[in-house]
Amino acid sequence: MTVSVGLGPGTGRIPPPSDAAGTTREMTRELTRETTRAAMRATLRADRRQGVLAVSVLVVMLVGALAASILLGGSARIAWGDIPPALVGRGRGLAQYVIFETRLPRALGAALGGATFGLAGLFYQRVIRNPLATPDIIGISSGASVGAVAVIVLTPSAGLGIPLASLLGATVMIALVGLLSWRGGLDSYRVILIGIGMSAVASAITSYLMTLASLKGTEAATRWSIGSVAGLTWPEVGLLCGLVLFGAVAASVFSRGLGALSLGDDVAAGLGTRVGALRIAVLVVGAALAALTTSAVGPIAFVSLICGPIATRLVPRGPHTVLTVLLGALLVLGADILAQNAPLISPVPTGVLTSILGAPIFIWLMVRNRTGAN
Amino acid sequence: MTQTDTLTVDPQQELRAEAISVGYGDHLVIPALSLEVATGAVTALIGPNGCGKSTLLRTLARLLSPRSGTVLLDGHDIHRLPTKQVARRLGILPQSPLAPESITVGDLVWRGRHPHQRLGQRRSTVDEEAVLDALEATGCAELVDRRVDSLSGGQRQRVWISMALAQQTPYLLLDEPTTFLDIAHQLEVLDLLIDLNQSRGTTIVLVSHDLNQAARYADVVVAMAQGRILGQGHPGEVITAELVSQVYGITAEVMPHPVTGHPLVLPLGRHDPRPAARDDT
Repeated sequence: MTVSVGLGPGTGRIPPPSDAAGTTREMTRELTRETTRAAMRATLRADRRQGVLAVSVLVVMLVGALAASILLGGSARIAWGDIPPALVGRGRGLAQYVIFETRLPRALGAALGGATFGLAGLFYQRVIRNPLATPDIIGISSGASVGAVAVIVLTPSAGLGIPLASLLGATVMIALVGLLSWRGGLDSYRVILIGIGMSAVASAITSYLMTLASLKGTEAATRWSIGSVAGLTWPEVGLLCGLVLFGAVAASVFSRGLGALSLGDDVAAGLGTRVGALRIAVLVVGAALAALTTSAVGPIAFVSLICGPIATRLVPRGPHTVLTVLLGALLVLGADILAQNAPLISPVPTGVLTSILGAPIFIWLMVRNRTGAN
Repeated sequence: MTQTDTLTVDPQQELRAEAISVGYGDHLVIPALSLEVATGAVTALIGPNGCGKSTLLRTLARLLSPRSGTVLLDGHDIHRLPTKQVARRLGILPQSPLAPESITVGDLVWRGRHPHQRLGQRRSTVDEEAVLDALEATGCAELVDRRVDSLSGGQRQRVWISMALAQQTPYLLLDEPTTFLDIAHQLEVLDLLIDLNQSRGTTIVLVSHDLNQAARYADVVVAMAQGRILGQGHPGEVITAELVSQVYGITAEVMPHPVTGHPLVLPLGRHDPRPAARDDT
């Protein structure tokens, strides 16, 4: 029998105990109530273990992938003994160049870039409440591509200008999408639709620019717009590292607000969240993360789109943000290891492999989601 | 226990709308309306679709800003109070809220503690006890580890009410809490609200489409049409054949409920005979 846990005292449903039997009944009831409460308490506290386990596994995999990337990357054969000093920048000759100047920044950059892409995507998916509404889908990547391709095609000698131009392109794009969707507040649906539209316009401009390019320019532009962590330098790794730290701080500030927002604007407002301010802050921070990361590694596809949904399904009770960041790092790093070492196709730009790995997972998730919903 | 602060009725407690006008775009839904919510009572807002009852509820809960006039919560303009402070005094359950995919009952109810928590603060025992109290009060104790999307409509609504209860506010506003529920679940939810009102002294305001339920469960009925209040007070005084005709534009026979004595509204369609009693007046 389910003892009436439903109603508290004072509702008058249970007659007051008047005799010994009544007192015993009362005691049994109280005892059952305490047992139920203890069980509920345990349930509320438990199940963090799954999250801790998942995080630990991903961290181990990430460390393994970093090691693999550094040891396997490229064709140069480095003696084992030369690797440890080169890792801390005290190697000699070839080892120093290959390990410290090439493979280490590449591996770290892949992991860090993947992490910020994943986080930016999760921010957007949470705040817009739509798995499709990631920065790359609503135009940040295509905006960045316009900038980068314009520099590559029109002023081929300006090497340093590419990151800045892509950042500029992304910023202009965000500003346009933001302004066009503004109606006394940001409506999620308008942001997505206008973002997709603007993204198409930007892609058309990129295609037009490509037709102006020389053969060499087209090749460079294509490589850039696929996205690659090849040739990353320490300053870029420093930028990405700063972004990850910035993202971590932002994520902890936004965490409770985003949790409330997942219940809808009205419920969130009723729970004391300043919905409008939070939405704008998260969108701006997410855009900055995505745009700056894109300026360093190019628009690596699918990372910001799939990491959040995979994290949510992997461990329904979270911690989703940490898992998303780790998955993003692991996805880009793993894709890059394949991009460098896979037989027949390597070396290819990293972005090719995130798409090949990411697209099927994404389609599977979406199809499963569709059949599972309602 | 943790509820003691809400058990004692604060003498300064009040929720009041003063000459508010509310609208969307060019459309003015409520022109200059004033209402004082009866503290410690259950108030039902009734009226036809589009009469502004949901708009009024949402304005009282600060989800909408009035174009003119003010909503006062405990003597302060609700729009000048910090959002979290409002959320600790007033809970709002919108119509058919959506739970995020795969969230568990416990995690959802836990979100109700949001206004009581500060950045970086860990989950406290006070919060935990509040969540347990809320789950217990709604009979959701056994559901705590279930996924919200696996529950029935009635269970789901009870879980949402638990979330609002975990917020431990002296005011609870609900927009059509019984819509889409079958009759058994409707009664379950309404009985639960009465329990809360009686055991915790929670002031409840709800929007209802069911006149008979409003008459049976509310202490105060506020009848609205076209953004104006046409009648308010005890259901026995407010719900009359004249008012029903005025508010909904329908003919109805109103008689005392044979068991409870509350007014019972029996609407009559075009094909029904006219009520004899009203013909000769």
